[in-house]
Amino acid sequence: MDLALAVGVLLVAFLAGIVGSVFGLGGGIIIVPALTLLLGFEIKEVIGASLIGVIASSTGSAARYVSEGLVNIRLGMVMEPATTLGSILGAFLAIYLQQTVLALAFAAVLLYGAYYMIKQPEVTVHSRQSGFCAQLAGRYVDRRTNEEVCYDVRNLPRGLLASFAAGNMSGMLGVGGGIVKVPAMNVWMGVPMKAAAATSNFMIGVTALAGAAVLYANGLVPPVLAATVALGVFAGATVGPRLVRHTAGAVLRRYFALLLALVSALMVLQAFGFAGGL
Amino acid sequence: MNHEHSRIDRYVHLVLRAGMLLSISVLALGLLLYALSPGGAQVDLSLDKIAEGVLAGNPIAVLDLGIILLILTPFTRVLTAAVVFMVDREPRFVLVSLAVIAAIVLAILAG
Repeated sequence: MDLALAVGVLLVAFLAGIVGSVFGLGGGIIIVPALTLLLGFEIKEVIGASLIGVIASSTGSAARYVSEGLVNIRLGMVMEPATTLGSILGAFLAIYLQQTVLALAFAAVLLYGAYYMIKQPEVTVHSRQSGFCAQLAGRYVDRRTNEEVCYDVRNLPRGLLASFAAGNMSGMLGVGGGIVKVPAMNVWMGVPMKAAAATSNFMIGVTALAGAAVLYANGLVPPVLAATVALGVFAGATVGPRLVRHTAGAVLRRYFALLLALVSALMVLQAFGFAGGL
Repeated sequence: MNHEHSRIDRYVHLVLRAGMLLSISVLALGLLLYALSPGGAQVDLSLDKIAEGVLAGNPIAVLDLGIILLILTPFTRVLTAAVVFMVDREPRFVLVSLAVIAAIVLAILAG
């Protein structure tokens, strides 16, 4: 890798680190197409480097978000096994099911999520519940308004199902689970946008770690490329949380909805063979 | 029932931060060494080869060490959470942590 190419990889990773850490997506959605389509890397080497980048994005941003109190650690950990099991099943199903149909189905789901997020304002519940959901209740101080935000977590079973589906999607299509988990937490479970994105960031490292370990054991993590991606992503993941601090949750939510629509469109293109591996 | 989330937050933050700083330093050192003497096979070394290679100043071994440290960071924070929940006597969340660990192991075995 020559210097110009290394700078290109760093820039892509930096941008992916920002977008990933702001929206709770990990950033693979930027790294994979940018490195393959723009910089001409082989998809085989990019997948491994991208997963390492996702762990870097999760680790770097979650460290920051946890100290700001935005991460709902308990909720994240309750949802993690569902996502991981979903991704195992997804990887198996991918062998048997038609990718095109799957991609189109998920594209429709994402588009619906985008529509819902734009149409419906955010609803958080402050009422005190009892039982397991109450143990998952979250609280943080919004750094922009200095307001304390308290919320209860609703619809846990539906949320677990969604995180299972999110894992499924990442196992089958290679699209990160955050794009499903964030809207599910926000729309169904009553988690405020900032907390949903931060909690998704926190969870993503665990989902990616198994995949990364397997690729490493099979010699599919190119060390120089992966290290360059990781450093760029780490830099971006320190900028992302700063942007979030100065942005209103409602604005963040609108941008997320746009991103959902964009990813949905990319998946349709991919289903018909136009775009490189997402 | 409203929990103080502070202890778990503190320890998880500590693990993530330490993992981040450690892997950044090792990866940056590895890239620097690689820039000074590029070339050599780009491989994912096994753990014993990494130890050997790092001592010999092999850039790829240093990079592989950094990558493994990074991969281990989320796993370490799950283990840490399990211990904190145990100390805090929250059996439900100890079970949750164990379920996370089991899912990770299952995913690695299935992969």
